[in-house]
Formats: sequence, C-alpha cells, structure tokens
Amino acid sequence: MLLAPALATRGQGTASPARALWKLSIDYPEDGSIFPPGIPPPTFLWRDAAGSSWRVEIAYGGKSAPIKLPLKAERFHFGPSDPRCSRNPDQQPKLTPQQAATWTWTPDRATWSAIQARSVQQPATITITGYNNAHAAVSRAQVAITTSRDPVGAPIFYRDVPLMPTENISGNVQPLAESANPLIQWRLRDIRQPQSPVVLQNMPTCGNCHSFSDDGKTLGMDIDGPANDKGLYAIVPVGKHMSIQSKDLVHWNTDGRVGTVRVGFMSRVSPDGRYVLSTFAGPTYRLLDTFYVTNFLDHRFLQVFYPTRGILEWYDRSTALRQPLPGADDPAYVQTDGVWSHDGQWIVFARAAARPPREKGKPPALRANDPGETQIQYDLYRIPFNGGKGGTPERIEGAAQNGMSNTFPKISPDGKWIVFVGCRNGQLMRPDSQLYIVPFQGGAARRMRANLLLMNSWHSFSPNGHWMVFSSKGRSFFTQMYLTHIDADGNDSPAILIDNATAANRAVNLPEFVNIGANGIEDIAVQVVGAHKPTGKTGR
Amino acid sequence: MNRAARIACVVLSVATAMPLAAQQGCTTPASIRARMSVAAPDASAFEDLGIALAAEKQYACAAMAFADSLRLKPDSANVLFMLGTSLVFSGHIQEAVGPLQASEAIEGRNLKLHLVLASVFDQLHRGAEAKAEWRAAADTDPLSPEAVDGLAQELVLEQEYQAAIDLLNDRTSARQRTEVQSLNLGIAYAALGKTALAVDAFRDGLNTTPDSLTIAAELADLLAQAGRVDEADAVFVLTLERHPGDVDVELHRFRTLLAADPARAKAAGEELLRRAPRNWEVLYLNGVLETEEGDLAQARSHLEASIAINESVPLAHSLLGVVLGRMRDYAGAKQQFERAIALGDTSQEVHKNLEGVTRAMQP
Repeated sequence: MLLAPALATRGQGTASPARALWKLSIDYPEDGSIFPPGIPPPTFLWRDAAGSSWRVEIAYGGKSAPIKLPLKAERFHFGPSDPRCSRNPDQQPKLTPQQAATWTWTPDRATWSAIQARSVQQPATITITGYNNAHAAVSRAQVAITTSRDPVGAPIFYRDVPLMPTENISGNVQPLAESANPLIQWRLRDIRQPQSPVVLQNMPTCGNCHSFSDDGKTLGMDIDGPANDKGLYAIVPVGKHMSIQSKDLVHWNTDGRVGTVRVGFMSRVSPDGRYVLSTFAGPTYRLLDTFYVTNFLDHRFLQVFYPTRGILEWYDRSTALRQPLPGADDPAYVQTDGVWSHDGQWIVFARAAARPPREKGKPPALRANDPGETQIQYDLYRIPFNGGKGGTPERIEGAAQNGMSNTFPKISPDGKWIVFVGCRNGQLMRPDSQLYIVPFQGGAARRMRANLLLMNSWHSFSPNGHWMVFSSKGRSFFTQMYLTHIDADGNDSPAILIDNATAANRAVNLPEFVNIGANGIEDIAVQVVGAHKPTGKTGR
Repeated sequence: MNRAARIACVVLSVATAMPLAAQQGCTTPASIRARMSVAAPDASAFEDLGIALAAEKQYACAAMAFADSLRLKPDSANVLFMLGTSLVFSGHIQEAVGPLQASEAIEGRNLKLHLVLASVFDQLHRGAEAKAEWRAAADTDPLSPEAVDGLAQELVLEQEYQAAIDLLNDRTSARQRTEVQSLNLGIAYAALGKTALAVDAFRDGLNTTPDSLTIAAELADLLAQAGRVDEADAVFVLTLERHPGDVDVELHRFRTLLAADPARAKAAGEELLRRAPRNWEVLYLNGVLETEEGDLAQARSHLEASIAINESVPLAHSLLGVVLGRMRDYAGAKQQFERAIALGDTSQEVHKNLEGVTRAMQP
C-alpha cells in the first residue's frame, strides 16, 4: 500500500544557523568614490529595513587598526530654505520615499581628517552595521572610498538661482518674475570650505552665461541691456574686487537692430582671454527665427532652450571686430556650443541641420522631452581656429550620429578628452541628459560613472584636469553640483556632492572652475549705465 | 458621433444612472443657494453647485449638477472631468468612462485625467485601455510616481517584463523608486530569471519601505526558490519584527521552512499553534509536519481540527486519509480520500491511496 502524503518534496534539515545579516543600502558615498583632499566631511546616507541603531567600522586594508564608532544617526532632511523664495508648497523640496527612509551620519572633522589621511594609499572600507532593539547585529553593508592625491586646486564660480516660474499678466510663462531677479546671485566655492560666499548679487540687470579664460585673468558674461537687448557682453579682468562697468561691455548689435542679431548662446572666452566665441543668428535670420524656447510652470524643469539656426562667430578684443568662423558658419546648419581647446588651437562645437524653431501643426510642448518639441539631434565637430580662418569641420566619432543629441562639449586641459552631454533631443534642460567622455580625436564614447539619475550637465574641468564639476537633479529637483575625479585614462569616479552650495529651495547652475586662488574673487560690482529692468531669463 | 452628440449621451447616461433617491436627497449647500434660486441658473452656477456638493462629499448630487452644467455648456473639459470623478467617487465607475473620455477628447494631455481614467479602466478590468491611459499619464509627466507606478504594474500584469524593466530603469522617470516600482522591478527581473537583480531590487525596495509585506513576501519566496533558505528566513524574521504577531507572515514562513528546514519549521509551527490555535492552515501545516515525523496521533488530531474549521480543503482530507491509513483505520481513510476527490483533488496519488485502502479493507 502506498499511502504517500501529498506533500512537496522537502530538503534536508539543517541546524538552525545564526540569522543571516540583512544587506542595508548605502546610497552615499557610492562604492569606489574618490574624495578630493580637504573636502569637508560628507554626509553618509543609508537605508536599512532591519536596524534601529548603527555602528561604523573604518578599516584600511588590515594595515592599521580599524576605527569603530557608534553612529548618531539622523533622518535625512533638506537643509534650510531661503524664505525669500517661493512659498508655494508645490515648489518646495519634497522627500522622495527613498529619502524619507534614509538615515544620515556626518563624521566629525577629526574622524574625517583621519579617514582622509589614511585612505590615500589604499581605500578605506566603511562598514555600517545595524542592530536591533536587542542589540544584536542584524544588517550590514560596506563601501570602499579613497582620498585622491590630486587637489582640486581652484574654486568654482557658479550661479545660485530660485526656481520660481511664473505666469505674467499676458499669460506667458517666465522662468522667474522680474521682481525676483535680485534673488539671483553668484558664488565662489573653495571645495575645502563648508560654504560658498556670495560674490555678486542684486544685479541691476540680468546676467546669464559666464566663462573664464584659462589663465583665470578674464571673465566674460552675458548681460541684458536696455529694451530687452540681449546683445551685451561684459569682458572684465578678474580680481578680488571686480567691477563691471559700461566701458567693459561689448555691444554685439553693432548694426543697431536691437535684438535682431545675437543669439548669444554659450559664449566662451578664449584660453588667453583675447577672443570670445559665440553663437549668432548670422546675417540671414531674425533672432526669433533661430532658437526654440518654451517655459513651463513646473519648477522641476522650467525651461527648454536650444538654437535651431546659427553660426559661430569670434570676437577679437584687440580689434573689437566680430567675424564668422569659417567651417562653422554654414547657414544650412545650426552651429553652437563652441568651446576652445586649452592651447587655443581647436574649436569643438555642436552641429545639426538648420531648421525653423517651431514645426507647423505640432501641439505645444507641455514639458521637457514632450513630443511636441522641435526635434533636433546635434553632432559634435571640431575645426582648427587657425587665427580665425577656421577650417574644414570634422565629425567627432563617438559624439555624432549615435542616436543622441550631443551637446555642451568641454575639452580636458591635457587635450585628450571631450566630455559632452547626450540626451534624446535638443539641449537644455533635459531630464535624460547624461555625461559621456570620448577621446579628443574621436572613438568610443563612454557613459560616465558619475552620472546621477536625473539631468547631468553644465560640466567644467578643474585647471589641473583631475576633477570635473557638474550639476545634476539626481538628489533634488533643486539642482546641486557634484565633483568627479578623472584619471589619465579618462576613468571617472562616483559623484561627490558639494554640500551647502545653496539653500534647499534654490538651484545651482553654470558651475565653472576659475584658475585663481581660493579667494581670488571677493566681490563683483555691476555699475552699468543705463542698465534696464531685469528680463527674468534664467536658462542661459 | 460628433463631440456634441457624444456629450449629450454622456449627460443622458448620468441622468439615467442616478438613483431617484440620490436625486431627491441632494441638499444645496448654503453657499450656493442664492445663485440656484434664480429662474434659470446658468452653466457656471451649476458648475459651482457641483463643486460645492463635491466638497461636501455629495458626489452623486455633484454629478447631477455637473451634468446640468454640461447641458448648458457642453464643451467644458474641466466640467466633464469633474463629472467623471464625481461618478467615480459615487461608485458609478462604468458611467464615469464617458465623461472622462469626452474630457480627454477636448483637452488631450492632462496628467490627472489620464490617471483617473487609467484607474477606472483598471477597476473595470479593461486592461488594454488601462495600459494606454497609464502610458499616456507617464508620457505626460515621466516624473509622476503615480503614472510610473500604474504603468509598471500594468506591464507586469501583462507579463511585459522587459518593458517594465526598461520603464523602471529609464533615467527620465526612475528618479527614486516607490514601493510599487521596486516590487514590480523585482518581479520583472525574477520572471526573466535575473535572480540577483531581482533580489537587489526587492532588498532595496524593502530598505525604502521596510513595512512592505508584499516586497518581503516576494523576496522571501525568491530566496527560498533559489535555495537560500537562511536568507529567506531572515526576511521573515525581519518582517515579523516589523509586524509582530502577523499570522499570515508566520504562516508564510512556516510553509517555506516546511519545505526546507524541518527543525526550524517545527519551532515555527509550535509558535503558530500557540498564537493561532483555531486557524485551519496552522493546524493543517502542523499536521503535515507531524505526519512527516511519524507522530500520527498528533497529526490526526490537528488534521481533524483543521477540517472541522474548514472542510473544503482537499489536501487536508487527503493527508488525513494517509494518516488514518497508516493507523490502519482504512474505513476512515477511504472516507477522507473520497472526500478529497469530491472536493477536486485530481492527483494520481489520492486515487492510488484510495485503491490501496479499498484493497486493504477487503477480507
């Protein structure tokens, strides 16, 4: 007789083992992070379904005794907000479910100094162990971090803006109300310091993109002029106490047709400070026929902007003349985002077939990446500057014809690499923008490890080439800036947050390394005669 | 049918859907009473009446007010949307589809509208339409957690696992995952045999939402299926620390251990018996364990108690038959096997056992 029980087959019995440790999630710093020397203590972030208290062990490859510490963990919270900025609850930073579950620990300065000092030769392994209420170990995870021998070596100049899109009386959406323009400020950050002093604020007019010469002696900045004339550009010497005056302004609109000539996008001062390279509408088109722009009331991505027509022109400060750059002046294309190699010999730029800014019959875009946007994908090209004579543009393999829109090139100081932004369409602001690195001569592009989940852009190499700063919305819709270390082979490390760069309800944009001492700029005064009311444009 | 005709149909369907009692029981809020006392209130007055009624949670009444507004001004996407949502809240899910779709036809891309319509289609088990609406919502705002949650759920339900993974790893939407997203990402990876990625997704999800019973259950099952019973048990222990005394979790743990680790299963079973002595499954599973261990008297006792509470489980009858057979109570065993078959047990095993005891009963 069979009489087998109707049971599933079961395995061999085992002796009851100790409870397996739960793997907690360490979100920051990521495993393999490389910190710059001297950076203030970072805030460790982790989530743990099992533990209710934690201890940390910091080990150095068995070469010296590990440090063991109890952690005074705190729940994640945003830093203080700027009360002058929006009070609209929909426009305030909100914890994601992950952030709401996150615990934090910031080592004290002495502990962090010890970690930094001992993690240069070999990684420090940071192990966080969670304990339950019965003081039994229940969870664990670890990350290895190192401290680079390479200092960052220069401060970062950046713009600090509120994200307060508004609808004006006529129903047009503006990224910022005119009355809020004085809230825009510029700061300088020595990453070894915990905060960034404001060096420019309460500007009587609106300032946009800025760039510095490689020698750190010259600043160029877009300035809005009277009657909404965006055809002014300030070029001033860099110093501790700077002043932008009317005499420092270049008027792009030399033909007197206000607002009809200059696109004024991504102007770049040459490495020696003699030239300025910028995108212009060219002789054929009106300004408004050369770029796509849509503003949204959504503070997360409040503006989309990219040129659809335009040529590169270069301005020579010594002659006060502006001329098209042959090879990047073909009206059949839009040529933009021109940047200089650090020897001043090459220009790398983004190019696409020219087209009208708006396609007829398309419904208006409701957000960034909406199918209603004008579709455009740029490729990166390089040409020799050749004393302004230009040359034949060469497509950069790996940064062209790759199914992405390739924009915002930046060339490493050693001339070996180009870091650029790849996204599905257009340029800024793109939720899907990711940073890629490709050899200067072209080749296989690599998506950089430092990329965070949402929007990565506005990158700048440190003058010594070892570090790159970029901005991202990975942690907050209020953009923050991050560092990544780049080695000689172009390998980058996980993103390191530059903390306390602004208030929790403000955004960091346009971060740019300046080749000056840590406090090389203390204040910038703007004393422009006839400065008009600000226009509110913040995206450029 | 043109738009006006369609809206007229919508309005008519609302009027006919509302029970007379609801129409008679509406109380006009004081704030709007004066505006409604005129001879012929206009569309905006009816719209405001609907809003006021909805604010007082008189959703059926609100729906009728919005329908009245639409009779006078049929082309308002917003009033159609409010009519649709009022119908949803008043339980008239089917009737809500018309006005919501009419609103969509006018306004097109609207996140809230897509979310409500998707949810309505889900409730009506109209999967394809629900998926289209979730997708429209996610296209309208890829950063909307509700939209991504809904679309991911729909894709997993339709076994479009790779599409779900692509969605949840898309860098324009996958900012930081919600519980639903972590759950569905793990399920999708597991379904495609990517166990390590599935475990990571579930663990990470549980670290974000430690109280999630669904993620914990999926993770424990996946680990157990992979033979990682200790890790699976650690998940149960962790879950029980957060949900002390949750009999469902304890039962799940018991079932898992029963198949893999009898020693721990026995302790878990005894604990469950103390905690839930009248739970049929607790009794049954203890009977299973005791049968395996040869403790037939105890097994019989627990199985009989289990069947006394819930007599519709064929496995319990079948196992009790086995126990009785081994105790040489062939008549009792035969009765249990027959009962198991009658309840739907179609296994070869139960039929062989029945033949065995029948033969044993023959002189």
